[in-house]
Order: sequence, then C-alpha cells, then structure tokens
Amino acid sequence: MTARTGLGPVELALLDAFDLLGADADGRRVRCSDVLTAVDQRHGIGPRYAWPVTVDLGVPWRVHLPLLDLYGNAGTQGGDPPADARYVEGRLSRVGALALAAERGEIDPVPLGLIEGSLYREGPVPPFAPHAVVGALLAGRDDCGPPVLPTGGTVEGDLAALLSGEPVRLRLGCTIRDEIERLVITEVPLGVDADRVVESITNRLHRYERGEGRALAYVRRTDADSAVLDVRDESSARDGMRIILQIERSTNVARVVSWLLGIWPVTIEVDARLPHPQPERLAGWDRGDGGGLRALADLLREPTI
Amino acid sequence: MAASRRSVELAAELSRLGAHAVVVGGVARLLRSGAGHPRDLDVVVAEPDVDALVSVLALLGARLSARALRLRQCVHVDTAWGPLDVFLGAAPASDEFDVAGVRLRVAA
Repeated sequence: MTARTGLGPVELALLDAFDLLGADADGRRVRCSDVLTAVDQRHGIGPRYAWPVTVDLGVPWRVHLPLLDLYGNAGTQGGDPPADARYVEGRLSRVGALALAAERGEIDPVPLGLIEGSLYREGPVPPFAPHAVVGALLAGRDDCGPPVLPTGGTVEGDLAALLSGEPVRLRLGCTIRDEIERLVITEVPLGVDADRVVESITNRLHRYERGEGRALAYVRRTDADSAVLDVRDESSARDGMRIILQIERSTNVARVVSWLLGIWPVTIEVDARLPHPQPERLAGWDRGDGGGLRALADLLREPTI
Repeated sequence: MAASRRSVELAAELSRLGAHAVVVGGVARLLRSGAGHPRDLDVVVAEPDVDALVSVLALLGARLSARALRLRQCVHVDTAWGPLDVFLGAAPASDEFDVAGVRLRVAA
C-alpha cells in the first residue's frame, strides 16, 4: 500500500491507465476493456484479475468513495455480475483524480486508506465514515468513531479492542426496520448480496422432518419463523433496498428479529484487525501541509460525493 | 447468534435429515472441548454417502454437485446456516455426540 493514499498497486495502475487514456474526472469515458488492455501491457496484470478490482473501485456498495465513475452494467448489490468490460465505460471520479494527484506528488497525501480500510478486498481492516475520518484529521482528534460500512448495516463486536489494535471478530448485520405488520431489511453488510439474503431466509422458512420409517415430509416450522408469512424483494432504484418480511399481526417482533439475525448472511462474521491502534493511525498519518486532506474535505461537502 | 452456534445447528440439521458425515475441524474441536469460534462447518463424507448428502443439502436449499465433489475432493457450499466445506474421503475415527436431540458423529 502506498503511504500517500493507502491504495494498492493494482488500484493505482488502474487509475493511472484511465488517466493516460484521457478519462480523467472531466474527460470522456473510455471502454474499460481498453483500460484493462493498457494495464496488462504496462504491468502484466491481466483483465481477469484487473476487472473485478475495477468494478470494486467504481461501485458504492464496495467503497465509501468510488474512485471511478462507471457507466453501464457494473453489476448490482443484489449479486448480479457486471457485464463484460467491453460494454462498460468509465473515467476517474473526482476522488479518484485527487488520489492520483496525491500519488504523483502533485498534492499532499489523501487518507483513503484510513477511510476504506481493506475489508472491501477481504482484508482485515474495516472502513470508517469518510466525514468522521477527515473531521478527526482536520481537528487533530485521535478518534473517528466505530467502523462504518459503505453499505450501511450494523457492526458489532469488541470495538474497544479493535480500536486499540487487537484482533477481534466482528459481526456485520443487516439493518432491519419494524414497520406495521412487516419487517423491512434496508441495508446488508459489505460483501453480502441481497438475493442471497432473500434465498437464505426463504430456505429457513422450510423444514423437513423424517418420521420413523417414513419418507421426508415438508412441514412448517412452529418457531418464530412461523410468524413470517411471506418474503419478497421490493428493492428499486427509487426506494433503495427493501426486502419485505410480512409477519403476523400479533407476533412477537423481537423474537422474529432474533430468529432473522441467526440466519446467514443476515449476519456474517469477519476477523478484523487494525495495523496500529486507531489513535496512532490518525495521529501518525503524514498529511504533508494538509492540502490533500483539505481538498478531500471540500469534495465531501459536495452533494454528489 | 454466533457463527459457531449456527455451524453446530447446521451439523445437527444435516444429521437429522439423514446425511452421514463426520464433523471435523473447528466445530469438532468446539464440541469436544468447548474451545474456539469456528466460522464454518467442515465435514468428511465417504463415497457411498455422497448422494445422500447432496439430497439433504438440496432440502436445505443449498446446491452441492456430487460430480464436483468427486472431482475435487473438497467443495465449499453456502447454506442459510453459513458456509460448509465438504471433504470426500474415508471417515476418520469418530465418537457420537448428542446435540439438540440429534446424534452427531464428531472426529476424535
């Protein structure tokens, strides 16, 4: 990881290639397949490896601050895969351009590594809220709060131990809202696709019993899940994620929520560890004269970021 | 619910529905000593029991390809109880444990 942004070498190679092909933040979009070809020629990193990284850098359900502005089918949070790179265009986002400028020494460092961590690429470092990290660095504070996932959802575990640099196991969970006669999942953890959540809940509503000397027979569970009448995904571009669980009017909602949280991947567990205690990470981050940090703070104030 | 408890529940569910597999790895250690926090379930299944395990997993909504298991000897499956790693091979020495009224074969 580079000290100036926290980006990995493949990520940096991709940003560099977009820029060299003229696809900077104010430029035209280029076909992602052309970028992948350039990365292969310059760095020997083939499209099979570089394409998933490209997508990760450009979708808001993987990172807080996408470094690429992708146009076309880059997949969905529901688990649909992206189209072939030939059919997706992209250019640097404003934050991506800032990161590249920081890497080239044109501006001072930008704390993307502190914000995004490495969990989005299945590393151990969880992400933190961009505004909280930038605010803490600007104010000289040594605390920027608990981890915050770009997808939303809950983060539970021994957070004090995590922030002091110890290895911990975090439990990442869906956000579940209690509406009238229904529960609504509005956010899923980082790395979890919504279709899988629906499928798992549906599977857990079934139960098969083997009677003595008899064949398997389907029966309805009689536990908390018997109060769940229906599961359906009503997610849309307008309303965002809405996985609806219709429940019986008189049911004990807390019991159903507890049952739900026992289902994988309504909750998942990840092993997490910060490379250093969080106060050291924040206090020790080399900001130069702070120009990169202030530029990022300005971008975060814009409503489109 | 912790992932370790979820994995134990999955083992019990497999056994209850008639799959013959031996629990190994972290869940076996947890059941024997109470130690560890496994995130997934590992089981060993013998060749004659593969098809039964495939059928049971299908009942649970999980897809395991018998052909893939025979080809690769080790297959990962995601279930509503969490991840499951299935190993094909001779069953290791095991003892029976009673978990929630179900007899589980747990590697020694």
